[in-house]
Amino acid sequence: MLPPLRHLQVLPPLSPPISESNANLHHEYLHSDLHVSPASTSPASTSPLPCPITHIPTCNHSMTTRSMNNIFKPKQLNTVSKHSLPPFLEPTCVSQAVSHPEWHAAMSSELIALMSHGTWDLIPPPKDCKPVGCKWVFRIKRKADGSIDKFKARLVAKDYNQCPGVDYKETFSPVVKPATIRTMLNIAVMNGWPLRQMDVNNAFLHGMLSETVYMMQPPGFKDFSKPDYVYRLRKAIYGLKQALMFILMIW
Amino acid sequence: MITGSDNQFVGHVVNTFGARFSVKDMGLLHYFLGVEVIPITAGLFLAQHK
Repeated sequence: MLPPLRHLQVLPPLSPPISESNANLHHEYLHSDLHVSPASTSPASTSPLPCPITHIPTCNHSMTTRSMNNIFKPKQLNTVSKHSLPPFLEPTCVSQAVSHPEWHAAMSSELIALMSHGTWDLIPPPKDCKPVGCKWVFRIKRKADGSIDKFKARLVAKDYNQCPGVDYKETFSPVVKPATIRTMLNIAVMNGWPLRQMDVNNAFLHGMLSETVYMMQPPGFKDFSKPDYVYRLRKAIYGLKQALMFILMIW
Repeated sequence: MITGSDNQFVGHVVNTFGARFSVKDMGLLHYFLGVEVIPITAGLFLAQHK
């Protein structure tokens, strides 16, 4: 179970200005040995108190709004989560990530995996080429208890820059029917066969591209001696329109 | 997800994949595409709850 990835900013609880009556009320609670903290009193019981509304709606129209009838949604001050705010948040762009050694290492290992597969050649840009952009996607993989398993960076192509007929001919989205999975489980159970599972690492990187696709150099990791060079892709990478088709073709 | 009558052959298939691709052998099936699989004596218990 992943903890919520984005946390709303935790606001300090709004404490209504303690008026004379509220202070007396509080004292009464103390004297009667009732352990009710003033924060836990419901807004209804403190309704005679001045409401902490900063913005008072002015009515220069005939419409009756809910706030004019004193109907308010209960303010949600905190997001409830048993996890504390994570010390590491996922960066949204490469400029946030490069300063962190964990993310830098994650990007390096992704690049090493791509290069060891011979995914691309770095070439001077051909005249008529419009390279497809790419970006980094950062994810923190967590264990079941919420602790950090690993930092994962993935270089993905911006497939929306791809032009049908030029950059790709067909696209594909592999799906599996739940009935197929259940059938397989049924067969295994009926025969008493053991069930195993496996996962292919970097499954995308095993498909050779038939189309010629040019891609820009990854942000943050440009070759400084050849900044205007582009990658000519030899193998599919994540995000390409045709990438998913190659998964099936290699099997 | 792999299954078969011959446990040795299943292991051989996994090893063959491992020779060609970089694979992660995840052992016995426990979670597959949103379905949790828990082996019980009567068969398998499936849960769509992580």
